[in-house]
Amino acid sequence: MSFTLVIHGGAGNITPAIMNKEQEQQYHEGLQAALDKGYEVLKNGGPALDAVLAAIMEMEDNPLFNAGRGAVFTKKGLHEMDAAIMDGSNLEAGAVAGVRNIKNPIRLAKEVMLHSGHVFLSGSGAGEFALQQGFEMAKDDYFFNKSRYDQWVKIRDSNFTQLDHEGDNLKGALPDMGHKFGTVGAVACDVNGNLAGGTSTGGMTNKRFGRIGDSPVIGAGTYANNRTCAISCTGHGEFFLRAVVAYDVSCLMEYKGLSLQDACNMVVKDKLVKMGGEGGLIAVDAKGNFDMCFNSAGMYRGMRNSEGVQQIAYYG
Amino acid sequence: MKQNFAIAIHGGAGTILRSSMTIALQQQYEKGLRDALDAGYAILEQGGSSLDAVETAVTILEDCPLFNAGRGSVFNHIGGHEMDAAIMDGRNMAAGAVAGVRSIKNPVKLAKAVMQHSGHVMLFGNGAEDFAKTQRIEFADDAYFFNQSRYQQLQEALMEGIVQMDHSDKKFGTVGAVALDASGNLAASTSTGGMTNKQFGRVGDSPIIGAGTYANNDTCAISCTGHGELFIRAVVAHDISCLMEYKDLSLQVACDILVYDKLIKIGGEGGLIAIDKAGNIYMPFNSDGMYRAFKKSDGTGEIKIYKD
Repeated sequence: MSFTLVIHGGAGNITPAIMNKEQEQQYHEGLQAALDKGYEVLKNGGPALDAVLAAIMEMEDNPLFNAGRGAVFTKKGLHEMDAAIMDGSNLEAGAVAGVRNIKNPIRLAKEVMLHSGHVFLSGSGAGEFALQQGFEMAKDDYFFNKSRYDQWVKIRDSNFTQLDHEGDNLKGALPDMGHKFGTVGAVACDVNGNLAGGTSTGGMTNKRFGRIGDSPVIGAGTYANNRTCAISCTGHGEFFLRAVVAYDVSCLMEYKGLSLQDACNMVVKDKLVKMGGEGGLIAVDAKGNFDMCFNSAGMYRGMRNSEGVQQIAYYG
Repeated sequence: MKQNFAIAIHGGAGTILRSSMTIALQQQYEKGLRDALDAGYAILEQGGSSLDAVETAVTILEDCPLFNAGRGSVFNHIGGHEMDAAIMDGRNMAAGAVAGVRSIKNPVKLAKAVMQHSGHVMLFGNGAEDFAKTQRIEFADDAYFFNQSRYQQLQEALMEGIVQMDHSDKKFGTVGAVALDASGNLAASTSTGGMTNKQFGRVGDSPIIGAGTYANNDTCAISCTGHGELFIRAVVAHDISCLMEYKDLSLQVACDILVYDKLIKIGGEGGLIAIDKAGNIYMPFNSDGMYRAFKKSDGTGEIKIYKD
């Protein structure tokens, strides 16, 4: 039986010009480790949901990615994280927004799905649920990262928010960073043909007002349905929310009969571009077809399947 | 010929039965619905936008203590009020939403401010309240939201250790409005106090664009009320839009697929109000009743509570 895993580590202005060999190597290792974790689950006949969880936890634990340990700083110098996971076999879903001191937000999202009776929990309330379920809280210093901190210090006195690394209006402020939407995600098709998708993020550097992006919103940044596809997005979240991106891909397949790739292209390279929504997504269908589609300069991405095919790439 | 216009509103769906309603109470609900409907309609009649019409109608429903939104919001587990709201403009697909906000007199106005002035779509909790302070949004103290019957509901829910969908049995207190204006633009808005005794910062479908609230000039405007978790998983409002856009279904057929087939299969009780670009209005629900009303420029309209 065949299986497929696809992951991303964020999209944006990722070009050879902003990456040196050492950074390329670090990202390669980070993505490879996540692919291997998820692949192992699928190879042993495990469910897509567990593979997605394993791959995302690996990236949350890696300070390189804007999720979990590597989450960016908010306006108040905190880390507020969002995550969602969805099981395409029964359309069950769990999500958390604005959680703090949670080591692996994706694991909390799964707990919400399985044990809360709800789909979406937010803020300190979600933290209370985590405590009740016996989750271990990580101290603030676990999330401290010098480069993230420097990133934040440069803009904390402004009202700019930043989509991890970026930006046009901040040229010069962040020489080492491009237009980059830090988020991690995974989608998988397991040997039983079940699909799952998950997304986790620290959001925008210097974000304030309890901003929630698309990542934890079912149908926008994250979606899975065995009948169609599993999707995880990364990009300028506000546009992805308004365009209900992940579910739109699913509907184009189900109602218009488009292939996975045609549906992804229509949403990412046509609809989102028209609105000005920069970013990308990863997708897999129940036949194991996959797509890694983006309208930005690059996207950290990778895939590995039962046919022995493996890809890791960054640029367009 | 002048373009027609229309508005529809709801005040929640659920186990709403004649047998558990007094004449006096029923008249109060009908008056609450009529006040909101007429105010929204008046804006459309004067050539105002559908966005302003739904905001006004929802504001009036939020101000009425009978409905679970704004002033009449239910109590959460710790005896507070945490409200959610969203608004969407079908003309340009702009949207704004807030979740888990406290002490905000009219969450729908905050959602609109998020849409127009925050650069974001969705804000939650204290952060959203901080944003409200920068926008001249009116705050209200706890006494404004206190309501004896809601407080009694919380005490009962705490005794039973359950989370309640507004009132006894199953009633999904939420308010919403959808409208088409004379310029052909659609808009939708939803506002709620959520579930009695809710904990853990629970967010339902109301403030989720695509789930409880959606508007798109090419298809329809939708506001939902019901068991929010199921409405999120089914991406209800956007699904109706996609069925119309991609399968060329009528508003009614698309709504029926969601409310009487897909949602029932996953156990999702509730309903919705819907309007399309031609001004057709449909207000289906799979629960016993739904507080609902509509008014069109062709002179037709109704205010209803029960199935028949």
